[in-house]
Amino acid sequence: MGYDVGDKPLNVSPLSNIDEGKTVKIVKIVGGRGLIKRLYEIGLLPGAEIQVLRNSKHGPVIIRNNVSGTFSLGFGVAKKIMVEVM
Amino acid sequence: MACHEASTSTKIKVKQQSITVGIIGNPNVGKSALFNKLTKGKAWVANWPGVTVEKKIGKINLGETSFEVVDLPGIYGLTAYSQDEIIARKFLIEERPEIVIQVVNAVNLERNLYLTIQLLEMNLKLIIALNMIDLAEKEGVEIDIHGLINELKIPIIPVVAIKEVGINQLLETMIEQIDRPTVSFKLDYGEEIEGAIEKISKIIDSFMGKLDLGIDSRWLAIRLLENDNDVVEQFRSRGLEEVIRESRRIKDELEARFNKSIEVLMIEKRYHYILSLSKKYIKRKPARESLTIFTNKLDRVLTHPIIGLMIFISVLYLLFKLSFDIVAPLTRLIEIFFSHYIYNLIKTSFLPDIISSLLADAILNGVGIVLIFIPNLLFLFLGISFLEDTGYLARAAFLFDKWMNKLGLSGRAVIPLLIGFGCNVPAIMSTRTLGTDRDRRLAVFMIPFMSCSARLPIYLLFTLAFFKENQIIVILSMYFIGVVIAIITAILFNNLLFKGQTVGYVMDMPPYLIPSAMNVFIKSWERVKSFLIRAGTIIVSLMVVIWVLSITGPEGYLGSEALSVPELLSRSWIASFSKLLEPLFKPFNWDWRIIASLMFGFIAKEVVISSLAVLYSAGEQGLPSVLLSSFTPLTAYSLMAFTLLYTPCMATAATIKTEIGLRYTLLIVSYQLIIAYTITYAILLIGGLII
Amino acid sequence: MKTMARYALLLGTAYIVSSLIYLIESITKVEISVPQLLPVDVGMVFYFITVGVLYNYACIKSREEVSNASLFIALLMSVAIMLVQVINFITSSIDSLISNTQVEIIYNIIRIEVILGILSIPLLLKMRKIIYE
Repeated sequence: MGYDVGDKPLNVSPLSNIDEGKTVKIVKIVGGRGLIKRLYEIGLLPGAEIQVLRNSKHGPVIIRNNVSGTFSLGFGVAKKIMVEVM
Repeated sequence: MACHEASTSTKIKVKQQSITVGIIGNPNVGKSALFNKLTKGKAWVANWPGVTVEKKIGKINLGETSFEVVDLPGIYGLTAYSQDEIIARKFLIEERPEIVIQVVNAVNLERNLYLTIQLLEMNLKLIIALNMIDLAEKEGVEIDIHGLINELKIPIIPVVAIKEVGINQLLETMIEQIDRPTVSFKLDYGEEIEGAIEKISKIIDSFMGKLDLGIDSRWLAIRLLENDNDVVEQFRSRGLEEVIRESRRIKDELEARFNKSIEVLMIEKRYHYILSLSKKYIKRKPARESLTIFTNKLDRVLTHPIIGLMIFISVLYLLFKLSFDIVAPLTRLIEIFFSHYIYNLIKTSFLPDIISSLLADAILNGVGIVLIFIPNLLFLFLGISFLEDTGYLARAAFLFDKWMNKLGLSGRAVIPLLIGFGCNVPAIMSTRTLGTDRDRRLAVFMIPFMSCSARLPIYLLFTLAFFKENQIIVILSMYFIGVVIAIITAILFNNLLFKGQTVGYVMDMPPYLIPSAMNVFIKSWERVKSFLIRAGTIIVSLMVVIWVLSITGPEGYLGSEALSVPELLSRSWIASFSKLLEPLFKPFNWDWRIIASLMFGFIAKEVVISSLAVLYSAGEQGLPSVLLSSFTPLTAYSLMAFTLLYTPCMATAATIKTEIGLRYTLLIVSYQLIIAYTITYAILLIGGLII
Repeated sequence: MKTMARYALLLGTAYIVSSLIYLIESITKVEISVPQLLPVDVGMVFYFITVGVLYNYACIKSREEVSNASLFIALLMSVAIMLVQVINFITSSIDSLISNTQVEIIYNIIRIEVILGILSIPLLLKMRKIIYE
């Protein structure tokens, strides 16, 4: 549950591409100020570990972590969250 | 500045009478449950100034002191991007409530603490209501409350709002806190940022006389560093461009040094602090009986792309059955009582003809129309509130998000749109659950095209007379036209009128819970009440206007019999207007009687039939045969399409007005009239070519 | 657990069979079964099929957690439609009392939704405990 960003990650991909059931770590959020703040406020910031509960690949995703609880994120949002598979 | 002085003087007066308490918190933490328990269900609803978001206020009297409790919208932080956040902030900054209670979900305490820190930085007198402490225990979350109290120096009261645990202790703490000084809280942002904060607050201090915001300059400095639009605007409006410029310069300097956005850095600092708190005071053990596991298991099925959809449609079927089929007898009872029993009582009374007609045909009829909605609305809202409080609606929104996105809406909009097929009135009222004003307006523009159940009798009558063979297909084609037009409307207005940006769809998926009956009932009753009072008055007054226009004409008073005698009615104002409009409908081959019936259809769409029956002096049974002799199938079909599209009924229009304002209501009505005219024209043109 | 699964399968089959008979009847226009044992309209047929599918999904899916959840939701839906039908029964009885149109009260209460709903209650109580663990 640490938020420290580690060494330079090797395989980074958008959250929207991650298979259901995988646990990933947020590396970076590439979006506007508004989106970044919104995600940070709910605890989704670089370093956060999240579990992908549901992802249809072309629609919204459902994710969960201990700090934030369960959230559904629109496709547009999921595309902008760069994660690293753990 | 005069206006500001006035507000301070009223504030002193309020202070003597009662103490303002703001209730704030993340969405889905049980804020309204706590509000209801605190105020014992005695609350009233007002609108926040300038917006259509509801403001709930309740009063508590405890011996000498009385509290005025205000329920604030659920927010995650004070960024002020969404309307809810702007409202909550405005209230906190401008009204400075004496006490703020933050309702916190003990299960995800860390996420909630982010808002806590922001509130503490505002130097508000904060009490934390640590809600759902029982669930947290079951989840294996152990919170060292005393440790947290010592660290944050604010009272933290464990509560279970639904079960009324800890409410008394919370009330006692509120009284204790009145005379306590506010604790000043200072989060250390690190040397560089602290230096910048100090520099900016010094500049602010030098202008303080001019500023007079009554807020700590450190907070203002932090917000300036975080590029808070609202605070920037406050400075600008007071002519303090210099402060903004200076703070921008300091911010840019800092960002160049860190090579990173300061806002992001500051949020990270806050989270570092939260994580240090979490490490010290929150322990997570394996769950004993976990709601999270339960929720995850159910979600595997309920958010499944196929099975989840099947379940959603079934749930919707149940909701419609509950609120339209089952309450039909109750609706009928109200109808019998009003339109027969009391109606006859007034009509046979010794009152002068015009007065008894005003009472019976206008006012009573109007009141009847309003009251007939009660069973439908109540049951529908009970169902929706129940589903909302269980957490299921968030899943339904997820299922449809992909499709609704294409229309520029979030998944949440699917519920109001589908309810529109039952009745447009509750559909428009339930757009309140859509986050932004932009989404609400867009959904409200689409809803009137959803063919509600009141339009079905019209389709049935015409299809029985003209399309006996293909009745179902013709009726379905009406629903289809409605949906297609709604989609076109969404695309059109999405690009033209409501071009705004959406920050992106981020929605909390609360765990599945059994809702509290009291909460569900209060929520539903509030919605019904607001319809009765706000839309009700509009409906009754419109009914009086229509009545006056029917029993008077260019030659003066016609007598109340005009309502049932075609010869008299044809001399009324409504008939005259219709005749005036006849040239406009020349291409359709519609005579004034159809136009007049459509005008009456504004009362309620099914009234078109009874008006046609009166104007063609046919009686409702004889109407089909009369229609057959004076209509072609094509005119019948075009008339059906026109009634589907032309204008929302009186009750819907009144609801639109109360929900999004008169300007938009007029826009919707005129837009629909144009659409109806165009589509009808197109149908006649294309139909004429084929036949 | 085994008896529970069999019991659930029985309920699920009842839903599916009943809606299939409805569909056959409406296509061939031949009356096969007592109307009370069939869904009342197409919407209800869809509802019945969904419940039936959920029961079967629970049996097919080997993964325990999903099958439990699916069974739980099927049971909830069985009870929900029963409750709605009971409210329906109450409102229509009020109606028949007032408007004096004799509705067959027994016809309304002994319907398949009500029977299956009552049969689901004991299983639902048991499932609630299992699924939390």
